[in-house]
Amino acid sequence: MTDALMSGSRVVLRAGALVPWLVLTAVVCAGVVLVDLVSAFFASAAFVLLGPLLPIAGLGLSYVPSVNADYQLVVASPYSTLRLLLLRAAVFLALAAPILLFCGHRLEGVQFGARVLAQAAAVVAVGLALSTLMAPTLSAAVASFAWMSLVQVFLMAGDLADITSSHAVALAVCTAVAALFVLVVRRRALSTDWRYS
Amino acid sequence: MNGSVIMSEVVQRFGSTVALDSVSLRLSPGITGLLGPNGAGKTTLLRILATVQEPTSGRVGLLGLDARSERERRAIRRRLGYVPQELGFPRGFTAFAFVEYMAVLKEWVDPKTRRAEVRRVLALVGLDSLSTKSVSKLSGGMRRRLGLAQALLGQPDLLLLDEPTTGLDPEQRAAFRALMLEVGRDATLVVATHQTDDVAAVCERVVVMDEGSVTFDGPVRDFVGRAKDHVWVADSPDVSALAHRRTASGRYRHVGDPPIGAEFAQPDVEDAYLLLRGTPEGAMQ
Repeated sequence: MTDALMSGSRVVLRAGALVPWLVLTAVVCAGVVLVDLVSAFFASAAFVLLGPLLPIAGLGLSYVPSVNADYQLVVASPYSTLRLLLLRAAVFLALAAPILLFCGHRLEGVQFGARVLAQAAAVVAVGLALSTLMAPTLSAAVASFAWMSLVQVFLMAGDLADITSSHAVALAVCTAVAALFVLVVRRRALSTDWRYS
Repeated sequence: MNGSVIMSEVVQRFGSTVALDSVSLRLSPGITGLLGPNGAGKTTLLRILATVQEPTSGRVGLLGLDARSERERRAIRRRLGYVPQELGFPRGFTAFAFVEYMAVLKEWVDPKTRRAEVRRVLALVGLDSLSTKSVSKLSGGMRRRLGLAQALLGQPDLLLLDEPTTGLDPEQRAAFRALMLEVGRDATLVVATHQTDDVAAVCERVVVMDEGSVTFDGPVRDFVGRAKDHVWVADSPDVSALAHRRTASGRYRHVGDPPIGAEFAQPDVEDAYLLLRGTPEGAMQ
């Protein structure tokens, strides 16, 4: 199990997804910091919008066909595809966590960063659940779009702070648990190659 | 279920396209060649046998297990080796690290025995001296051999190879054939290929597919025997033949209905295949 975990992590870290993801993350963080020089409100809004998308973007990138070239071999192995998907999600969440906490700390305090991280975990969980219905790259895009739409709704209502409130974080945790439940129930769908389903 | 592979009335549809049209097969240990033109359904059939893809309908039994059950599917995968047509490798791996990664996925838990097994399969395909080389620096032929190495992990009972000799030079192909003959002694080996000489060299049985259906299934000698009295040689090409090709001697080899007084030649797998492909449907049955 430990060996599988190590090798799985090695694939994620060495896979071509890591470099583009790091570039994307650096651009988002630099953008937020620059906007913060002009307007603290817009910087927080940009961070709330884009921060939770960073881990799911890494997960989606790691399933882009050119990066995920050995996919058919992995599916044909007895190793659980669900386990590998969860492992990749965990790696990107773990990589994004210090970045989100640091940026949140710079903007409004570390608690703000932790709340954005909780939302990021919920977005990842929804993306994982959707991957039982469609390709992981597409499911990552759909989950991202859903998050952006939600932020847009809060922005239009003029109460963006509510999306990082304690209630919203509790809702995010519930959503994550429900999504993971769906993922486990529907894990059979991951057992074959989605491209030929 | 008897036999290593049992496919019963298997249908695979992709939208309105029928990739496999009610295919039934029963394969036992030994080497079976899967011949057919592009789009015949060979790769789809292999993907189903590799449990990578579930058929739209029909039953698939592999190694006495039912591929529809998730638990049995994992049991099948423990005894399966598969080399897909489009073989991709994760970046940044050496040849050894890649095969070891695949060994981890195939549940080789103990590091010492796992590494010994990786060394064994790399030696089998002649890549032991290149094990520390990055996969990205290996030639196309070497990568095919590396793909084969991971499929040989754990001496699988069912080995599925999709176009395995593509990109191999003549020496590598000869070595590959020798390896296939060795592996095929105990395992059920299915080789999808365009190379009729590969089928002639290693296969005991041939399955010919066209447009998702099986048009021939039987021993190679029976397949070749069907072309008897349909192959002749001449000094110039005969346009009335179904197919003709120039041989190394400079003469022309023809397949089809021979003219009166034709100089007959011993048919081979390619002749039989061309005859089957060129003959109106059913005439060869």
